[in-house]
Amino acid sequence: MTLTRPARIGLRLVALGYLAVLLLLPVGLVFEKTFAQGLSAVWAAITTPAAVSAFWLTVEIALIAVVANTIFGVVCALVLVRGSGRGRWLLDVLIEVPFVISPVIVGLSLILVYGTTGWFGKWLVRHGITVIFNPLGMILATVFVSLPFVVREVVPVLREVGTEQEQAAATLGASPLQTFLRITLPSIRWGLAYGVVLSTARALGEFGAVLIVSGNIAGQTQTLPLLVDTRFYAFDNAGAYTAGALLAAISILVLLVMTATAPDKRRL
Amino acid sequence: MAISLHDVHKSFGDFKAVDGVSLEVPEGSLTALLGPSGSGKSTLLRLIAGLESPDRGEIAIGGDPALAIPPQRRGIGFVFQHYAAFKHMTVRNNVAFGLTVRRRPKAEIRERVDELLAIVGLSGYANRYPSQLSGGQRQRMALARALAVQPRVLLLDEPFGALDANVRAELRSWLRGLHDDLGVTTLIVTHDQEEAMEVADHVVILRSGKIEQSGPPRQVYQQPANDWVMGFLGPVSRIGDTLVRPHEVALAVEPDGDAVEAMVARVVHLGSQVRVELELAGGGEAHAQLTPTEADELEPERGDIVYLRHSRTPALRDQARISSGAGGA
Repeated sequence: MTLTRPARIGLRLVALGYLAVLLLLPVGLVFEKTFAQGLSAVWAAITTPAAVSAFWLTVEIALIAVVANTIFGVVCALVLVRGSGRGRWLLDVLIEVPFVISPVIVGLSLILVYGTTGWFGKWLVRHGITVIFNPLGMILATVFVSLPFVVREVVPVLREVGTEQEQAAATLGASPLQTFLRITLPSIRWGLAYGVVLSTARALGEFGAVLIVSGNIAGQTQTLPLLVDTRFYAFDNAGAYTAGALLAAISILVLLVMTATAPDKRRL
Repeated sequence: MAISLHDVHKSFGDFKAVDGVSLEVPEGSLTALLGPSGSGKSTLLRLIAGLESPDRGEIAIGGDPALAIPPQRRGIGFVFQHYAAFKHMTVRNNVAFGLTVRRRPKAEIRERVDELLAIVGLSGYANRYPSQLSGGQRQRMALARALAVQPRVLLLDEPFGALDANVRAELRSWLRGLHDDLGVTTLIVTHDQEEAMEVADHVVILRSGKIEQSGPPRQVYQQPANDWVMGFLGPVSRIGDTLVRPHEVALAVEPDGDAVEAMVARVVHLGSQVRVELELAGGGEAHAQLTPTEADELEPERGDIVYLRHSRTPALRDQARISSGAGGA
């Protein structure tokens, strides 16, 4: 489709305006509010014991969840694209569940399963494992909500790449593991990287599901999003903005690293 | 190494891709598996490579049963129609792949790859990526990659099918020369009868998963086992009860014994030959291929009535039928 010059400029303005109003402006304001307090105030707000604990807990949970979902995501994508089982459609549907279910429901359902009165509750209590109101539950919740991203990004790439390169590798003497590491993985690397970035962003920012299973105990089960919320409702606006800015900065950093390391492939 | 297949069957669902094929591929030969699409030729090649498993039957490579051996250890080199280039690797790493996974010393790999790139004429391209090569270059890279592991047999699945006609013709004669130099037993799958005729010293013609005929190109062309094979190997016209090649149709202006009457529908001058399209008196169409000299003598024009007959004597043809029938398919 060819467009006249005014039409092109008009479309560009609409797209940029939309992004500016809905995305750049609010996020930018958070940073503006944060740094309006002065650097020493910012430093003080992010070095309180609660903030330091929240930062590390957030990073730790995101890391575990992303690693778990990356491994699961690749295996799952392989099953969906390369498998021949009849139940694949079911797996395909199940993977979408975290997209369509509200995170709050995810949190509640985890309590029903793992809470002290839940299905596995008695067994867990007997073995001294605490899931709910503990980082373990928060990890489960985060894994749940960030599960589809890697699968959804890898499946189309895997489908497009096809099986010929893998077959060629096999005829050249490569074992299945060698084929996976040398052929399949490099072929899907950009899709995988993008899925990891999306998973990471989701895992870092998850609020609803984590809020319910964590109990939001400062210094113990409080992540950055929960800290923002807590400070905001304690009328500590400056502290909330600072924690929010920190969270946004981490996410933007992840996105930048990804964009910088994947040059040509995603160019329009 | 010789390849031998005995009563091999392979179905995909209800579709019988390979339906009881027995075949001997002599050591050092260049054999073409020729057939229309869906004839099972590619499946047969993939069965030999171990990329598919037969439902039943035996496959042996170099006299050893191959079915229990995975593709990795069958000692085959496989070349795919769409090259199957490793897109994220340079040409050098593509060609080196088989040696790299065998953990050969770096110096040996480098030397061997250089040697192979020289053989396929890609010496200056070692550090390029497949996306920077033309289709013909990619396929030559794929061939070098397959040869790097010193396969006992080379299996080529429509290797030139995705290339332009002129590149295809060039690579065909190049492949023939390469085979003559290396002497590796080679099986090439193609749907192009001209390609099979030009490249192979043995042609196996497949239809619906079964072998219709096999033999040297000249033999299958001149003594087709049946009408289908004859029609598949080149253009034919039906005159009376027999199928005739256009260049074997003789035209005359006067009726002569059993010659068939026809009307000239169109005369096409193609430079080195003249094609005369005919409408037979008894219904049906035929065409004759004349040399320019023959056409000048006859001067056929649209609407002319001519008489046609087979230029080879009937006795010769009958003999051909008997010998190919006795020879077996």
